[in-house]
Amino acid sequence: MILQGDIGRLELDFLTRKEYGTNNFWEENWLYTLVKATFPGFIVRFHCNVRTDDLQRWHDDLAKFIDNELSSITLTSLEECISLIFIKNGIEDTKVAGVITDTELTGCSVKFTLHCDMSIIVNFRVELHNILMQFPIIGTP
Amino acid sequence: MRSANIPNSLGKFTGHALDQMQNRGIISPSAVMDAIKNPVRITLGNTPNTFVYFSNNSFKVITNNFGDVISVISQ
Repeated sequence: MILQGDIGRLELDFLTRKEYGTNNFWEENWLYTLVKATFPGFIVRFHCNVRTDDLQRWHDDLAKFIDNELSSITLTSLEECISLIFIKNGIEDTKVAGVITDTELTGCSVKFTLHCDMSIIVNFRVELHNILMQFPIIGTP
Repeated sequence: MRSANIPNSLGKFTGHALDQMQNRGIISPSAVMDAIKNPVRITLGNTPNTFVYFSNNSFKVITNNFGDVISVISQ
């Protein structure tokens, strides 16, 4: 899943479920995730855990954002490794203010601001939809 | 004073929480339980029905509304 901005890009690869076979909402919905990002002066690469129910919320919020029902949305992961604030900045432009944190090992964070065309946001949502088809939410809270 | 929504009893540790404790060198569940019983601060988690307990050590504990420990992360 790629978010390509004017001065850099953020890529999230959802690799595999962390647990299988328990049917427990709090156990099975963790996805082992590779975060890759490139910004001027920084190349970032680390692993973290993101939940499928978080991805579903991201997807639903992005749909409202694209349909102009919301002018800003905040997408965060439970373990705080990814935090993205999308703000409408004119008709086609979206400002994305993000913080990505290597919560697993170093604790280091990178803050960034990107400007994206709305077509990038639409593609981001489509990719998120495909990931949710591949890794649906298991169980109920 | 605790909010009515915050669980007042401890549930179980999930496998993910135990993995994260091990990754962070927190061997003893009692350190995590102490963080829940005597938190520096409690906030809502990023996911609905979750709570974050800040310990006076270098970690935060995430629980659900049943009191189950979902994860342990660095502060």
